[in-house]
Amino acid sequence: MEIFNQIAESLQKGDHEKVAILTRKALDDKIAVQQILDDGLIAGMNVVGEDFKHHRIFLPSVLLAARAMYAGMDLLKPLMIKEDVRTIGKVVIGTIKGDLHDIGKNLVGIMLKGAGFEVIDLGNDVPPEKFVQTAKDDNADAIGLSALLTTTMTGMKDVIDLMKSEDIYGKVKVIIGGAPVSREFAEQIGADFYAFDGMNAVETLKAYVKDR
Amino acid sequence: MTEIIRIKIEDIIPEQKEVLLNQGITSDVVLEDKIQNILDQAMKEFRSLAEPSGIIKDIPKEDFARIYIGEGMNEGPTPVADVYPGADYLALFAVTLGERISDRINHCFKTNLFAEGCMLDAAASAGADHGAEILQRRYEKQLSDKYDDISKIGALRYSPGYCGWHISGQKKLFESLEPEKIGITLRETYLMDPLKSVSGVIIAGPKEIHQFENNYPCCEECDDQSCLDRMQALKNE
Repeated sequence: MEIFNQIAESLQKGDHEKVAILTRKALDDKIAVQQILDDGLIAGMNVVGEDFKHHRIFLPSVLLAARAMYAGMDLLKPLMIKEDVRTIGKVVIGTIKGDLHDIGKNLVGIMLKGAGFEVIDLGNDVPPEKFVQTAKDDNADAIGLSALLTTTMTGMKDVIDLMKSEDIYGKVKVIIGGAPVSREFAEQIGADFYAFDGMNAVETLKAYVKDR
Repeated sequence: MTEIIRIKIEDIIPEQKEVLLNQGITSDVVLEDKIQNILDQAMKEFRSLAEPSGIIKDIPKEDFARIYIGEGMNEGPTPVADVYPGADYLALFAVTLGERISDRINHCFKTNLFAEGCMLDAAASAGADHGAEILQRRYEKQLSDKYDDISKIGALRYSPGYCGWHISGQKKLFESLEPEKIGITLRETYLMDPLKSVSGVIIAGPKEIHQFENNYPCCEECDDQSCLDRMQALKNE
């Protein structure tokens, strides 16, 4: 349908005003919320993600597109619960206790939402108990942990240890990222996934929810 | 001696290419107009919101030894532990850009102005580093009359949270330096408010003391290779 292409293209251009107008129009035309979300907004963000991955666009353009995505989502959200529209997954994210650097975590959250995930952002300097309790209370699919400092990344293992003792390890997946973190470190501490950047985190979690 | 230093904004304004590089955009990329506009706006906001100031305090080596040990959480051998015993002079320092710029960054993210927030954050990070650099250069200048040949002397900054110096080292650093005097406070988890602040120690001595192989245990977990650039730059000075 033409309107989906228009939404997707406007989103790719980062035109949040136009995305809001087109999303409103689609709703007025009685198009299903799920379809507007999937074929318009998420379809547009998927192209943005691919362009970013292949260095055809850069971070500011992704963030402008994300803002446009949010402009559309703001209109859809009130109707999503009513129409029982499901997100593709729920992820609890936060920067590890002792670490205040949250720009990377914010970007991952923005990109995950753009891909259709529900994101519960606990902020920065988050204690292990809060990650685990939120994941349990909100029935999350995954916990995303971020750290910038080599001296705080060890706190990621504290979260995983607590997940084990609370019996949610394996049921709720753990994805880690941040400048000092590596795939080897992820394996060493028992994290399920490692993401080298925000888009990789999105791809990894999308693949997980698709395959489970 | 402790000195509070008011830093001129003009002295810490980052170059546009630095701000872009902080976001992975290299200087050969031609910016779209809308991105250039966001960059211009971020630079304008940086100039109007940053309130840079610094504090610096000379510290004897034996006192720094106590500060470095901190809460006893440093892991094994570290570069800092091997560098500072060779120092002639040390100074604790802290620099902040103030609350207003951090508040603006937070506001941007809360109101979905992600690209604008990220651009300003990148500018502020670069600006805070420039502020720390200014303190270091000033300290080097002060030391110049203590040496016959300053060209053989090198000063570099090291901060808690990096190079194996555990972030909890902030506690004793703060107790000694008292950066609260310029508005920087320490959270229970050893992180600083305002966010765009930098703290650490400037270690000055023969250039050779700063040269190390980055094969410490902490280096294995570190993707940041900037120590190599710093050491090379010092050699070339």
